Amino acid sequence: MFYETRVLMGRDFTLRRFASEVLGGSVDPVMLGYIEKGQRFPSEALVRRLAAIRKEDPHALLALLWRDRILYAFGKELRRVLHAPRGAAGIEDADLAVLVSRAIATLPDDGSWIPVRRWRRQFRAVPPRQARTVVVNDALAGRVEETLRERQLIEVRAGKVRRRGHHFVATDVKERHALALEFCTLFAKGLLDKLALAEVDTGTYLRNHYLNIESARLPEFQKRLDAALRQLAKEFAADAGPHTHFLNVLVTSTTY
Amino acid sequence: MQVRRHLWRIANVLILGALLAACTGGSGSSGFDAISEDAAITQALDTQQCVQFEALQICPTDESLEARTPTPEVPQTPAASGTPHPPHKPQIDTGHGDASCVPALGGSQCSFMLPFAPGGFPANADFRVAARRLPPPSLWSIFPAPASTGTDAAPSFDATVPVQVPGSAPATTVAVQVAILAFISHPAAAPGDVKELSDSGADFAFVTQLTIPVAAGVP
Repeated sequence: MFYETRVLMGRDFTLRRFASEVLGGSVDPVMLGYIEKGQRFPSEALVRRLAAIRKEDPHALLALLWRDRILYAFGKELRRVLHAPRGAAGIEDADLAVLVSRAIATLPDDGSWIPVRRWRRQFRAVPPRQARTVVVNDALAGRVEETLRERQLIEVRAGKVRRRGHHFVATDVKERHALALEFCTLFAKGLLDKLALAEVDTGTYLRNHYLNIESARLPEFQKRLDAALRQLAKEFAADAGPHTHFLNVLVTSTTY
Repeated sequence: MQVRRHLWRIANVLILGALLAACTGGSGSSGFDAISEDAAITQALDTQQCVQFEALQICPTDESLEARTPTPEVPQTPAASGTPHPPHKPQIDTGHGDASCVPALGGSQCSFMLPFAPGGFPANADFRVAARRLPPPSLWSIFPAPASTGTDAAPSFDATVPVQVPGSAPATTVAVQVAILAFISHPAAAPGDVKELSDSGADFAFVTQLTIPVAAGVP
């Protein structure tokens, strides 16, 4: 966001000039460089200042900061849980899981073939509103394709591709880490939409439904919950376009 | 006029059809566990690790020592609680290297022998073998109790596994999925067909995928 603002102001601002002239010397240029690369978090005061420069509601930008802080803290703890190597750290790890979801959702539900080129173009085209989260490079996209092929979720033949499955299971530590961060991103976003952006129409639904249930009926409940969600997703799924959103429905049914 | 109206109607139907066909957007899901038994079996075979599906632990047979994971635990039963359990996790080793499917006289079936040796199970564990043809997956057939060939300290069994052979063309091989079911909390399932292994009430299913050569003489 800081980089985008600096570049979009169109005056060839260097880090030093932007820090002193636009941000009023409230941040060191070296620190601003780290913030732009996502290696440090900005202070809330700095985010408010940026929002004022961009003439935007500060809460929308603050919500992004809070989400990333939650993700950072979660990712740090998660590494301990999974005994993941240090190299697997970072908010950007969720990118793989996000891209896997997009790649699966871009294929027709009925298993019909579509050109591989179209599929690649569509799942790599990340909407501008998500540009901070997903930076699709060839290596990442190639890894997604390879993973989906290995899991037999897609079939590629003669320049065409079709789906063979719907459900991606994270197996190794890296995938589990990536998926956990994606889930955390979705939950944090949903929560912050309701807490920090309560006045804004974010389109987020957040509810906790609860009930007492016989232990023996719990597996049946969860099976039917999954089937109902699957049916809804199939019914409402549309081709990605300027008037569509990439909707995620994160569900947990857990005893407490 | 009538003809033109009819043509318009056909055109409208075609346009509507094209629009509906264009709405082919997909959906999907992701998670940490399999959501169908078949997916769980595939995952267990692909990763060579145990996968929990509902109340059933699905594991690969013949796990190498390196691949053996400490995840599955033998459920405690009142009958078993008084006796000490072996310290290592349950496993099944099979010996099917040179098996061939021997045709039954005048039928469309052939049978092969599957020896297996369980380890890490309590003494009250009961075993059954189930199998199904591939592809596509058919119903699982659970067979009668296998013949014991071992001792209490070193149990082993020989199971005869009958398989349907397609009658349309002479078969040289048959592809089967075999599951060795271990029953600890419930009595062993009676012979018969089940849609899913979890329907059998087994605690463990040790699965393997085999391509067995068919001995000469099968139609």
